[in-house]
Amino acid sequence: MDFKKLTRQMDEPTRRSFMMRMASTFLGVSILPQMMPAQVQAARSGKSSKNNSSPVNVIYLYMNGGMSHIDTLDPKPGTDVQGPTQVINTNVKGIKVGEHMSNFAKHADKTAILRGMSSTQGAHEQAYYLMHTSYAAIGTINHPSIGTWIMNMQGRTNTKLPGNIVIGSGYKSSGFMQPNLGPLIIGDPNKGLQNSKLPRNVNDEQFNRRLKLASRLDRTFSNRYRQPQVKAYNDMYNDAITLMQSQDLATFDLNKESKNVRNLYGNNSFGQGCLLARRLVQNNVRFVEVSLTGWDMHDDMFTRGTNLIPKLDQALGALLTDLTTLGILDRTLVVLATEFGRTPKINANQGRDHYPKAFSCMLAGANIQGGQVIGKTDANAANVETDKVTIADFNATIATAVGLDVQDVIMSPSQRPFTVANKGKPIPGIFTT
Amino acid sequence: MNGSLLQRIMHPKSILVKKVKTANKGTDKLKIVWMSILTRNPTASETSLIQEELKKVSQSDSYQDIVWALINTREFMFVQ
Repeated sequence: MDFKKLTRQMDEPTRRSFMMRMASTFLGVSILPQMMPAQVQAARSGKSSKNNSSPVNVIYLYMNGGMSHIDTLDPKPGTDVQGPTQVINTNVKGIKVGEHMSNFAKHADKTAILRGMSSTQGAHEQAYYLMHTSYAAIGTINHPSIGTWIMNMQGRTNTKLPGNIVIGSGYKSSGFMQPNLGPLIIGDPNKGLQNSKLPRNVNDEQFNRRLKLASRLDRTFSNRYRQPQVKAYNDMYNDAITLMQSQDLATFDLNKESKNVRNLYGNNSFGQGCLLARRLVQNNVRFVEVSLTGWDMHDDMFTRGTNLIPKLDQALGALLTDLTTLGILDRTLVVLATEFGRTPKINANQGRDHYPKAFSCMLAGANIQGGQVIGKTDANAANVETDKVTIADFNATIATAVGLDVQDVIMSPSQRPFTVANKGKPIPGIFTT
Repeated sequence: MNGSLLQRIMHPKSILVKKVKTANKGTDKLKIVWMSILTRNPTASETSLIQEELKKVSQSDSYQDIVWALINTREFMFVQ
């Protein structure tokens, strides 16, 4: 161990940033920010929590890079734009999807396919930001994603676990909202929550002694500086300790699942991430984002699609099967989102380029009416002909399904008004009546 | 909180442990620990608190506890 090097490195950043990094490495968290009791949050948002015994939780599957609509949810059989991807039937008469979506095809009766999606952003970063926040990326403010909105407006249900989680990559900022509402990041689903156990040579008794000692040594300082940041860190520590000593910690452990179930989701980080997401929402975590990257197929799209689309299909199929079997699909909203579609015209490199004008997303579970397609593109999947859905509308639909009021205004610290879906309207006819 | 850094700091060959070992008096040892972590000397009340603590458990254990406790104080986190 090169200790000298370590101490030298420690001199450079400020002690606080060092500590932040320490927290993120040791607790596996950037952290535990959001661990504040639900009641407190409800009080802050000025609303009593509706005491709904089973609020809707969200599994947000994000296809990073731009998912080709023609090869997945909006095929155009018999046209030039279709390319080599075959088309298959689903379990709903008249709804067809791309051939690699065969597991999903067995669940079309539970899903609402949105073929009228349309975005205004055609570059990854801006489109990604818009999809996650409903707002255009601008320099003067950073917007929160919908998971953070849920934490702000409704709060946690299970107060022992964090309420907003990103598995692998995802939208990690809490925007202008308090950092403790933002997502907890789990790097690798297979490893679960890192550093949440005591070191091997430390027992509970010693740990408690240490905590007591720290709090006694701390008294003078904490009393002298009663600042929100100090308070927030205190809360964070207390929540981290609660979690460390809680049974719920096992929620993060995928080894608790049988080999069969694990295989069902696919032995890749997206599949295992979806399984972890299922375990988390089962334990009333409010919002979990899992991403699948690799959709930016400017070249060799059909070979790459053959490898990638089945990963989505397998995990999504397993997830919908599992949520149904467990009886929690009606309180779980499954979202399939992406920043844009891909060009109908196949380019010279057998690829498809960015195409925000028309693409597809999917919603399932909660009070979404299954077995339907909303929106229609023209013969070449190039223009939305009916029921166009903007990004704001899409997010307003998610927010409404979860029970957020899309009219509720929350002020940023700079006193600017924001709403959860930037004035979007829920998609008409998508909910069960 | 639970990571491997503390093990490194408390490693027999670490600078901190070596320095503490060379000090003879208990109060000098404390000064070294406080200086290393909080860059100030311990206050009288802190010194008495620690001396109380040292009576309870074995020496090596308690120094680990003290270092852990100091690193986990808000003072360490917030004072730059």
